[in-house]
Amino acid sequence: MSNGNYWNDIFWRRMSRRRLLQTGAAAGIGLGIAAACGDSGQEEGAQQGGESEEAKPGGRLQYVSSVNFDGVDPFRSIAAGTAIYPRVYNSLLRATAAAADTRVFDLAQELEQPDEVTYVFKIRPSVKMAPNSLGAPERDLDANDALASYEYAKSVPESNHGAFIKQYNVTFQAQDASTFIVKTDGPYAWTLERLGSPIACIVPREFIQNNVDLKQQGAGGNAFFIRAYRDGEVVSVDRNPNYWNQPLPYLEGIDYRVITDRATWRAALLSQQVHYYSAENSREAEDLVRQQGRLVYIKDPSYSYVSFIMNPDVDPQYRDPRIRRAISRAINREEFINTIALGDARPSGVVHWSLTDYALPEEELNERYQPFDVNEAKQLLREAGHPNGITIRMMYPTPQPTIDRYVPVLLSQFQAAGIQVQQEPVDFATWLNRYRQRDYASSLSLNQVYETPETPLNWHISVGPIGDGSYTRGLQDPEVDAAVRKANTTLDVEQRIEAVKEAQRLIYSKDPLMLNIYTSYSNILLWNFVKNYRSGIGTLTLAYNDIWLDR
Amino acid sequence: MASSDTVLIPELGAAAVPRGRGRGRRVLSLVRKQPLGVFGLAVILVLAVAGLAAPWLAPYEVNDIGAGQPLEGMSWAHPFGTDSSGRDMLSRVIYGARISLAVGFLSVIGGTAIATAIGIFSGYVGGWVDNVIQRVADTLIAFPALIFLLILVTVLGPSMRNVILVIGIGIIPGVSRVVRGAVLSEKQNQYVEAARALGASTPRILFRHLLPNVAALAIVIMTTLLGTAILAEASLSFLGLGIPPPNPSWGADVNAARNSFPIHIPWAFFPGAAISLTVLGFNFLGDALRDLFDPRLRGR
Amino acid sequence: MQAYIIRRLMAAVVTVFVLSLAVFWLLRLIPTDPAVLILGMNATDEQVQGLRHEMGLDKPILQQYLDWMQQLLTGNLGRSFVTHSDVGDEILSRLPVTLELLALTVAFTVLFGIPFGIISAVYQNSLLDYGVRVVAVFGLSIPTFWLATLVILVPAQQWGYSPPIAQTVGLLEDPWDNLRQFVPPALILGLTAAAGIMRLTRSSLLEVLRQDYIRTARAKGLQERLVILRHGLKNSLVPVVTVLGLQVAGLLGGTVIIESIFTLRGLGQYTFEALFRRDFLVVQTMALYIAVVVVLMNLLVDILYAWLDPRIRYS
Repeated sequence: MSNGNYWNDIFWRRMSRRRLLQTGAAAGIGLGIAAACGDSGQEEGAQQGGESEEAKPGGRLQYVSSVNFDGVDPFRSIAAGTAIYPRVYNSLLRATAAAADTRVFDLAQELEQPDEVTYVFKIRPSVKMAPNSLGAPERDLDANDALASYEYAKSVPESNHGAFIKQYNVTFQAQDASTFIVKTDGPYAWTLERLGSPIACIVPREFIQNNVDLKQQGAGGNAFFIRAYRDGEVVSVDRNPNYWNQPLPYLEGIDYRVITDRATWRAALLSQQVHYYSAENSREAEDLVRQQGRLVYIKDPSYSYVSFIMNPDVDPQYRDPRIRRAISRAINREEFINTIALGDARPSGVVHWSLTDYALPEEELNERYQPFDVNEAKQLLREAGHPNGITIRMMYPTPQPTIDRYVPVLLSQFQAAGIQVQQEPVDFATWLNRYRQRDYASSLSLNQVYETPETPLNWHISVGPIGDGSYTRGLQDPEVDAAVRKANTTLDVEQRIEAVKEAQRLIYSKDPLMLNIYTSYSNILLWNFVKNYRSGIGTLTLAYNDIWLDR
Repeated sequence: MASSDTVLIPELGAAAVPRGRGRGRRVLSLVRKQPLGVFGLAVILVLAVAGLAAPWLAPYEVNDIGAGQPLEGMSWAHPFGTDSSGRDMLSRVIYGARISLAVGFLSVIGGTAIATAIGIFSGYVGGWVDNVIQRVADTLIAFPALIFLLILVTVLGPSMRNVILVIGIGIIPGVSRVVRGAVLSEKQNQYVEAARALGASTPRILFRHLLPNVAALAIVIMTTLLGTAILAEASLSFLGLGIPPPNPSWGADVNAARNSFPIHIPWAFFPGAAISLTVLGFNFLGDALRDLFDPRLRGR
Repeated sequence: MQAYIIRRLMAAVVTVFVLSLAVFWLLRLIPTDPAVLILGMNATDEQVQGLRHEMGLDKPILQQYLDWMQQLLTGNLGRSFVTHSDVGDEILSRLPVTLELLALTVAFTVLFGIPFGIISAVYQNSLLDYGVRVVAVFGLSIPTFWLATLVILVPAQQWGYSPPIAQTVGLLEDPWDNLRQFVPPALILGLTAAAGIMRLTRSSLLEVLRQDYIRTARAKGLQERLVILRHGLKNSLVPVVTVLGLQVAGLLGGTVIIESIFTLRGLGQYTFEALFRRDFLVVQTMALYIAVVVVLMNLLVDILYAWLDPRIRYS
């Protein structure tokens, strides 16, 4: 499993945040709900710039965050920060189901699995702390730092990855400075993805002992350290001269600039003040390339989607599976894709298509599980005793440019099937609050970036997506709960893929409460002098520090 | 003050106290003397008719996403093009007149009514009551209007009713200040003295004597404020706290267009032009009314 | 005069107090839990309750207000739970941006507003007057955000040019880049405000010119231009100063839209972001700051009145 060569062929990954957040940010919403950031796809990770070219050291990459920072605290920050601090702190390794056959080792250099629940990591020697004024000596990080970080994550109620640790009773042990052992209380399919997530950061234990506030400062053993943090404007990271994998990083540093207005961002790109732009859609991306031939267009699958979700606890008519099915049949995903994504997206099932292996085939979804059929929808409503149609209440967050565009499409599709909608637009914060507390009859829902099928499946189980009954109580069906549990606990990849698909088919047979609409692409534009920009590998991009500027 | 970042207040000094005399002018001479005012009135009338008759005038349903392909240019089928959802922009602009005018009129009429009441009361009663009211008004007048509105909208939540409410509240301090000024100078007039000497009660003096004389002023202010209110709605929409979609608000449509790429000129241009034209109309009309009501500015 | 100022200052304290209490209370009416927003989508109820307690949100509102006031009296503006930064430091670091934008905006307002107002009044009902007035009304009718979008986007599309974005360039550090950054937004704000000032100057001057003492001056055979400048202008500036005072006070609180489009790190953006993040401490502190600024500006304007128009006497 170990792949020591990985660091040699050098890496970088764009760290675009969720499309939804981007569009939300354009209207001024500065709040993130992304746990992990990024969207990308293809197995191997496309690279911009030939590998034959010799990398030039120096220069600063000008990156953009379309939402204001919520801090760079690796344990607590959940939005823009998740794109920055993974470059400052190490993880044991980096792994994602979005690029399943690639694992990038970092603080660990080897992994052994003596049994189903035990993971033994060999710590890499001489992963040295960056110079800092935060009270951590420039020493090598070891298993004790990993232990301190994970124990801390477990103890902080709001920590990013604490929930998983608690849910699976994960225990950690530093057998000696160079051996770190992780144990789960039963087989758990996504342990490596969890440990390998960019938010599972390891900080020097001195920070934890001294209670250092890492919200606006930070340094670790990874390629960069935080030099400046100006809320609402810029976070600058500089090269860590002690980085273990010399001569990386090539960059002198990266500036993450906050530009919340799309028009301004576009102006900044065209005037070369920033090197990165996330286009609204493929048409804009192509348009920009036509206009400025030195821009390079990179198209990446996204890992997020918008859903329509029903809550039978508030609106009992959703208890009737015929009504749920009628609503499902009323949704015309093709129309959504054509009018909102300008044709540049694919319908999503329970698991979105960009998780290629785990998603059900598109034909199966379209023909069998979520076909668009107005007549059937009307027929189902008649059978359920509503020959004149039904009226539903729908909550949605506003302003959210994405959602704002979904609403008229959905309303007209529902209307065509005899479903009248009473709209409940609420501001984003209120929406999140009510959504959490299951205080909605139905809602349009913005989802996070999901790079494993775990959470998409969990939306349908009795304890809901985060395991405490928040958001939804799912189908309340023991069979579904068991099938999802099986999918999440099958270690063998081939069998797990089958289990995930079986769970989806079962969920469809029960007429799910949550209907995902479609998943699109990120349309990235870079100036052509940005080299080694990795795409198509999800958040794994953040594991690569070999980007360089050819100018 | 196109920027609602500045203050929601009519131009104070110019709003001198109007007299209730000499209003019987002929239409023809009006056109000759106040061409811009008549133009403004015409614009407003056209928009009002468009808004009222929207269901008959608009070629498509306002949220008909099947009206055309996304981002169509100008054509006979879609004179103003379509937006990114394929909705017909001409229809949205026509329906938008409803919303903009409704927001404008309801917020301004409501706000001015309350402000006039407060202004008359404050000015007539005087003393410490007046002092307290004026100090609070001082602060609210100069409080950055947009931030004030944003706090209120955030508290109340985004909806058309709340946008109207919030803009209405926003104009109260400024207008009440102007009305109070007018009352103070009216109070010196003999007719008030006379009424008081004759033993008229305070409410009677307020409503029978002061109100009619202040009303003309209020109308002038209202006309100018209508434009300001429509811009305020557009600004709120720009920040995403205006009237929630899919309502066809001009401000929201401009904002959706300026946030959507590739840049599609018709989508952004027409609702933007509608905003500007409406505000322009109200401003011209307001100027003309002021000249008409204020004999001191007349004819010179 | 002194007694008047003292009386006004005392009234100011009351106003500021009432306003701060109102904003404090209003914010807590927002039907959203700041803790939920800080923690995000993956938080459990236990986490939310924990953070609420830590933030003091589980206390009665009055208690929260008193705690805040107590903290203020120690001269400490406090630390935001959302950003973990010191509110006082943040305000100070953003103030230079706000002040420069303000200075340039007021300069443009006065530069364009008053001269054109005078021209328009002096040549009343001439073609020139009409021209200036129509342009001014257009200036009042264009939404700022639309104009600002064009100003930033068109040069970028056409020539790949844009002012410095998402970085603060100090005036002393690099005067040229600094002006490239601040002049376009100040021009937009200044020109739209100038339209209002121009109209005001015009009508105010017209009114003053009809007064008896101007007639007397004219009758004495003074030159027309001198009449206007020496006698008319100073007196007609009273309402203009009022509105400029309001403008300054408003700008001291920051501008939301312009700062956002031109990525200026000023106080408007700070307040707006805080409102979105439900960073109550920042919003209520900014409201308090604005109230103080406004009250002081009003006082200043009133004192200026007395200087501009000797007929006004405060007792």
